[in-house]
Amino acid sequence: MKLSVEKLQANNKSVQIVKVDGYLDAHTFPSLEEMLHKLMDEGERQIILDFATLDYISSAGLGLLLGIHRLTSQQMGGLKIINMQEPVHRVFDVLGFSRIIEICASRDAAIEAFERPT
Amino acid sequence: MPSEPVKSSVVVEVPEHPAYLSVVRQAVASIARQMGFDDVEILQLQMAADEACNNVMEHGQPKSGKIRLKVHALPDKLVMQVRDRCERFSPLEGGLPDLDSYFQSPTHRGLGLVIMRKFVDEVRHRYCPNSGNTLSLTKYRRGATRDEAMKG
Repeated sequence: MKLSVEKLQANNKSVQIVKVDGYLDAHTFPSLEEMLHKLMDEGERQIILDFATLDYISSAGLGLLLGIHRLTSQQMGGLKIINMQEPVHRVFDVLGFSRIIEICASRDAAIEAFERPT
Repeated sequence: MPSEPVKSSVVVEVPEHPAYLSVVRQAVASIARQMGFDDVEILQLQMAADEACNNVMEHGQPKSGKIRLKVHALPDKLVMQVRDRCERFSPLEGGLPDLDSYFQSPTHRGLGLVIMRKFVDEVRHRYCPNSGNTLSLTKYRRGATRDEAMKG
């Protein structure tokens, strides 16, 4: 799994876009967990995960997403996912994760979604 | 081109470490693709096998060092058998957590079993003192039913 981060400013707020490449399973999720907690320790609250090249996710990865969604939401931020591949999207739907974590078509749509009142 | 019916088996033995889960998933995807399962079904089969193996890695005692996955490609179904040499334990004994409880719980445990139950058609556990635990996960081809498969 490869990770890269891009920082944006949108509406005077910082947005972190983390691109996750490869697969997110019991072996690889600690790397993403460490990166996301580091961003949160630095005060970041609005995080977008770009899953364009994420081919696989297991329960370990799903549990991490849920935890980060909860933490960022509690701190007036949030977690959005963009560019999700169709099979992964279907799994999210079947397991009910798309009811909890918002999946957006693009980074612009995700940034806009942060501005919507919840 | 539609896939021809297949009847074969592949065996993969991996060390009991999550770094090898990707090997398990590749084996499952390779067979499932040959059998004509679509991309979503292949992902779901990979997830079910991954969770079964990872469950042994996390909870199996004592550690035996290796997990064996056998994938059977049969005309009507794909069967994945995960075998370990641990003491008797079954992921099916704890009952199936409902997803609402999972989402509300602070620990987020139990999703692996939900994935296994939802993404294959049958999950069975067998224990034999000589050979250990075997978890069998069966997925029927679209249009095939369990009754038809039993006849075949």
